[in-house]
Parts: sequence; structure tokens; C-alpha cells
Amino acid sequence: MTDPSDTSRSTRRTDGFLLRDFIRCATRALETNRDTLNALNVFPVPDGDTGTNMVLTMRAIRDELDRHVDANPSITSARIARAALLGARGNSGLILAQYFKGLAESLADGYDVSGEGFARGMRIASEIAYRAVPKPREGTMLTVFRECADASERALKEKPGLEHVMTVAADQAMDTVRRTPEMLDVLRDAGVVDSGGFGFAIMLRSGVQALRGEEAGLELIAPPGLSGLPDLTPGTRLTSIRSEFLESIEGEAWGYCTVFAVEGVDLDPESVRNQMDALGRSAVVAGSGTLIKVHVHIEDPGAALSAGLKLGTLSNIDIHNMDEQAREWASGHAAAAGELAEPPVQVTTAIVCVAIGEGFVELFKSAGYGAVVIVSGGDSMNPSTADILAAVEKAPSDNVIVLPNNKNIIGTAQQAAQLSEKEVTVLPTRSMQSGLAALLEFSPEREIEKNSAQMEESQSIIRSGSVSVAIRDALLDGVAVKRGQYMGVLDERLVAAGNSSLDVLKQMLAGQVDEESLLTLYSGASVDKLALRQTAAILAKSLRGVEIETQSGGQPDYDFLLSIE
Amino acid sequence: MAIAVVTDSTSDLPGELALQYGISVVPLHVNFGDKTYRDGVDIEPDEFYARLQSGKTFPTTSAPSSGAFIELYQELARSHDGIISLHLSSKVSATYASAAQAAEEVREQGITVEAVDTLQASMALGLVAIGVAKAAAGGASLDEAVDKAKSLSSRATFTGLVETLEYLQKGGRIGKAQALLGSLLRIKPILALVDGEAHGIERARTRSRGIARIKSLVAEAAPLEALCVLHTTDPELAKEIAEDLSQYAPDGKALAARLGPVVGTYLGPGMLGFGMIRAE
Repeated sequence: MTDPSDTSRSTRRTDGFLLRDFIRCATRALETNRDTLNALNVFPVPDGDTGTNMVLTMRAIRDELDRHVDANPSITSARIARAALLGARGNSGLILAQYFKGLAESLADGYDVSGEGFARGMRIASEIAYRAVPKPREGTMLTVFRECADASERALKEKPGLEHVMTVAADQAMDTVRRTPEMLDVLRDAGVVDSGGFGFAIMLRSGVQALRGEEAGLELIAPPGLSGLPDLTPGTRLTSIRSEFLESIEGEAWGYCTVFAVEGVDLDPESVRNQMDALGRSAVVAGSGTLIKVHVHIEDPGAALSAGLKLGTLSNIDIHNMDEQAREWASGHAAAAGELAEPPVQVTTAIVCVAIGEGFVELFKSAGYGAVVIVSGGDSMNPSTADILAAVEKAPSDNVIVLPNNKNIIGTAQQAAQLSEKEVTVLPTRSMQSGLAALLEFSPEREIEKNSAQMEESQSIIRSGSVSVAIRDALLDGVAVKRGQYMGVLDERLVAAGNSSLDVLKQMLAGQVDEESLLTLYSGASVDKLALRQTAAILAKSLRGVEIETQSGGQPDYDFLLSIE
Repeated sequence: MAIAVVTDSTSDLPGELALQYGISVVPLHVNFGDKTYRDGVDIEPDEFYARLQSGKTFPTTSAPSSGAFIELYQELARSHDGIISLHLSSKVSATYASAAQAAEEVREQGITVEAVDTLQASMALGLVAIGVAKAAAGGASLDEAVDKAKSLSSRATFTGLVETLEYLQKGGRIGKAQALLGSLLRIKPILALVDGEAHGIERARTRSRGIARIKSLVAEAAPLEALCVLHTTDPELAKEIAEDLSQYAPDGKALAARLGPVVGTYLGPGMLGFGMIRAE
């Protein structure tokens, strides 16, 4: 490439070196973009290794040429093809090897490293790549090869030079990649483009740059057409796979990715391909005569190896568990999304709250941005001053707001507040429901005064109620209730009694809610989820227009706790 | 010759205001399936939000090409001394990068463009553009306009109450607002662009309380230099809120505007909020 302007020339005895330069640039371009390629990899198995496989395949070729390069392009391209086949990793690597095989055949047929030679090689590559796969799918590297071959032939008629033909092919490759989600549903569902095809497009682009004498292979290239992606800033790219897709692949079984080379005599790739296709999935078999390379996804890799052993000597065996890879890949993506989402944990104000019931404890934790310490306790189990004090000392800030969440615990909390060295404010929440309402206004980054003012306002607005079984006969607030009956308490006044919890809920809520209200029902430990949903459904009918939210509170003693906001 | 002011369609600047202040608006793109629309040019908000709610295909958005900016810059350069190009936060979009690249390319042709990353969105950006356009009309130099843009941007806020974080999440722009998802309870999140990224700043249990909170956020920030109430699907309610808040607007009149498809893609139907600039 000493004279980049002279690219339309025909045969040169030094074109073997030009091929070596292409290989180097393409390898570097793939190395640069490896993470992106891995992140896009959802087909045929979402295991996030397409970039790595392509890089390793290219390195195998590069290392081979580093050992020896022949000035004669046809000799060098044959070495490239063999190194590619032997070094091919994964599906994408093996299909990539078909490209180099096509190029080698073209040059062996007497073509030069020229526009013509490139177009011819591209055509052969496309044909043998389709044949290497038992069930060719569109929207993959195969499509990219075929459309590149078409485009190269068209370009050749316009202007024969290598630079022109390769430029047109490289542009076509990017354009085909852009359209892959239209051809392959799994890509569309995941919101990505084909990873292997994109890798090939990157290689071609680096080749064009190399021809022009430009610095090649160092730029990060955004996947074409992912209107989401080019418009994202770097670093957020990994979160771009749709979360529904990540969840949907969690349960899939992919088996083992099994790759090996067979050396023998008169090997027939066609029959090996059929055999592998019957044994597993995503079979790719390439090569012919004395050397073939097998790639297959299979539950039992032993079966594939045994079949190979009957044909000749095995080498370059590579087996890995794709179930693990797919899981790692999915959780890696999910974790990347989570990491970005983590708020800067700068806790200015922390919370201590008293709660009982598994569901309530979860709710308090989830609403508290990780700045909440829970003290177990409630009506029948009041915590001690020491319990609350210990929690205050443990809280992740010197400014602590305590939510007692029970009228009988407010005093205890205030005592603990006085005993602590920390700045402690007790917000006199009288129920867990009002404590939750307060906590929703909490922000750990805000100073304690602002927090407590806003939380106080919020908890004072909501109304709390409960439904439980009376443990003795009573006449309270003008309502008579018998032992064993259900009783409804709203704003700490007995307002209803009846023989079913539903009946009591209906009585106590009549006239208390309207379309503006949000009613939250928390089921107790004795009420299962189905009963909770049914209760809410019936209430929704009788209290027309009110919005009802249901939560499993898991509290003891009360069948239902409720809040009206 | 004065300087020209350019912004992008995520400013949600109403057409008549853009015209009035002579601001050029470059559209981003919204892609629904295989169809691409220019924001605010090829797709009407009513149609857009109806399709968004139908939920069959989730739209994606993309930044304008550098080419689109280059063409506009070349055109404006014929009648202006310099160009200031004000854009959506670079942390959520490549629009600024595209404009900056275009500015770099036309420099060789002797065209001076200052691209500014305002770290803002929607009418917070739109109000910055109006402020800069006023300064330009008053004869400000390009340097002065850039200073003005930076000052206004630093005092600008874009905040909104959304029905759900679903759209932000689907669109991949959830950023630090994700923390609000931690809550198992049903909530109406209030989001703001902080340092150019979406953050959840408050959670309201009901929409009416959320709206009350939105109003008090405006009251707390007063005195203001500019205020615009924003919505996606509630023009009447937005108008009402604007009237309620008019006392905080500098001239006693708060603007109201609708989020265009690009920003609307991420905040979804039912969004109510505001763009404002605090007084200096």
C-alpha cells in the first residue's frame, strides 16, 4: 500500500503484502468494536461472544501471516483460508472463514487483488456460505455476503477499480446490516442488528480505509439503523437490549457450543452437515477434501465428537456451555442497566421504621432508597427503647427520622431519640399505612428538616383503617360488636361491625371515598392473594370510580389494613 | 448583520414563537417500525400519541444528521455574521454531537457556528433559545450570545409528572429515574433533567397530588425569568395550570406548549410539567 492512489492496477507481485495489511486492519477494527459486537449478539444464541469469536478467528489468520507471508497473492490467500478454517471460532467465525475461502478461490482462478477479484471472491463466498449452513436464514451474515456480492458486481460495471468496488460493498454491507431486524424477528424483538454481519461490515470499512491510506480500524462504529443506538451516548449502549427480551431468554436451554476440525481423506461436508443438523442446532460445516471444520450447538457434545472421529483425526476442539454464557450475558446486560440506574448513594438523611409483616417490611425497604433500617414490632409486640436506639445508631447517617408507625410506640421512639447522640426526629406516624405515605416523600439526599416537613404533611393527609376480629363484646363509638365478629376501624374510631370482612369493608368505606381517592388494601397474614384480589374487585364495583391498589402486607392480627389518599 | 439562532425540535418551541423570534428549528426523527418521521413536520402529536398508546410498535428516535445542520448553516451564513446552535442535552442524544461536527466542517468555509450543549430539553431549551434570540435581536455578538445561552441554561429546569416510567424505560433513557422503580407501591413519578440526565425527584401517590406538587415546585423556584407549562395529551388542563401559575411568570403570562413526538416518546401520554428559567 505504498501508493494508495494506484489501486485500480492489475496484478502486482507484492499483493500478498496488501492482503496481509487488510487482515491486520480488519483484525484491529474488530478488536476496537468487539464490545459492541458482543452486546448485539442475540442470534442464533444470545451468548454475547460474536465479537470475541470474530476477533479470535482474525487473530488466527493474522498470526499465521506474521509467521510467513508470500508476495504471491494466490499463495497467501490460500494460507489465509486455511488459517481461517482452522482458527474459526463460533458460528460467525466459521461463516467468516467462508469469505476467505471465496477470496482464495477467486485468486486461485487467476483473478488479481482487484475490483474484479474482490467481486468474484464475494460471489463465491456468498454461495459457499449459504451451503455451509443447513437452514440458511436471512438477516444474518449470509444476507450481508449475498448483497455485497450483488453490489460489487454492479459497482464493477460502473468503475472497475478495487477502491470503488470495495467502497460500494462496504456501504452495502452497512445498509444490509441496518435492515437485518426487518428480516429476522429475533433481532427485531431484541432491538438490535445482526452482530456477525455488522462485524463483517466493519472489516470491509477498515479495508477501504487501508486502501485509501487512512488510519484504519481505530474508530468505534455505531451499529447502523439502530436509531436508538447512534443517538445514545457511549457507555449506555449495553443497556439497549430490550429488557423483555432478556427476560424471555432466561429459561431457554442452549446446550454446548461444540467446534472441532476433522482431518481425513475424501471428506464430504454435505453428509457431515446433515449428520450434525440431525444431532443438534445451528450446524455449520465448512471445508472439503482433507480438512473440514464443524460447529454445532448440541446437548451432548460427545455425540458430535464421536461422529467426527469416524471420519478422521480431530483437532482444534473447543466446547463451551452456552446456557451459562447466555445467563451471564443476560445478567450482565441487566446489571449494566441496574448500575447506571443506581442513585448516587449520598445519604444525608436516613430512616428508622417500625414494621411488622413480611409484605410491609418489603414495602418499607423498597420505598426507602436503601437508607432504611427496620425495627420489627407492632401492636402485639412493641419494640423497646433499646431496640429503636440500636437501629438509630445503625442508620447510615447522623440525621435520622424515626417512623414509629403505631400510636403505642411513639413514646418509646421519642425516648430513643433523646438518648442518641445523633440528630433524631420522630415523625408521629400512628399506622404503618401512614408511615408508608410519609416514606414515599422521602429523599435520602435532602436535609432532615426538609424531609420531615414534607413527610409530616403527607402522613397527615392520609386516612388509615383496619378490619379485624373482635376478641370480646364491645360497644364503642356508638357501634356494637360481638366477640368473633369482624370490626372496622377508621381514623381510630370503630365505625362498622359485621359477619364478614367484606361486609365490614363495604360499610366503613361507603361515603368515604370518591373518584379522586386512592384506596390501598393491605392483606394480613391470614388472607391469601386470591381473597385479596376478589375483595378488591367486589369493592371496586360497589365503590364506583375509586382507584384501588392491593398489597400483601402480611401483618398479624388484622385481616386488612387500608389507607385512603 | 446579526447572528442567527438555531435549535432542534426537542425544544418543543411552538411554531409561532419560532417564527416570531426568527429561530431555525432542525427536526430529529421518530421511527415507527420502518417509517421515519421528522419531529413536528411529518407527524402530528394527536396521531403520534394515539399510536404510542396503542403500543404495537414502540417508536425510537434519532438525531439529525450533520448534513442537515451543514445545509442550514450554509443557508443562514448568507445573511448572518455568525450562528449559535442550541441543543438537547448531549447525555440523552447525539444531536449536539451532530451539530458540533457540522460546525467543525463549515468552519473551513469561513462560517462561524457555536454549538452549545444546553444539557436541557423541551421548553427549558426552547426558553433558552427565545432568550438568546432576544439578545441577538438586541445586537449581541456571537460571544455574548454564547455567554447568554450558558447563563440561561444553567438557570433552566425541565420537570414533569408522568403517568408511568414505562416509556422512559422502553426508550432506554431511564437513567437515574430508575431509583423510583424500587417502590412496590403504585406511584406517579416526578422527573427532572438534572445535569442533563433524567432523575426521579419526587413520587406522588395520586395524579392530583402530583399536579399540586408540580405547581409548588414552580412557586418555590420563583422569581422566574420565563415559564412554560407542558403536556402531552391534556391541553385544557395545561392551560388551567398555566393560568394558576401566571403570577409567577415575569409578565403575568405563563406559556403553554405540547411535547413533540421525540421527547413525548420518553415521557408518554398524560405527562404534565413545565420548562422554566429562574431569574438571575
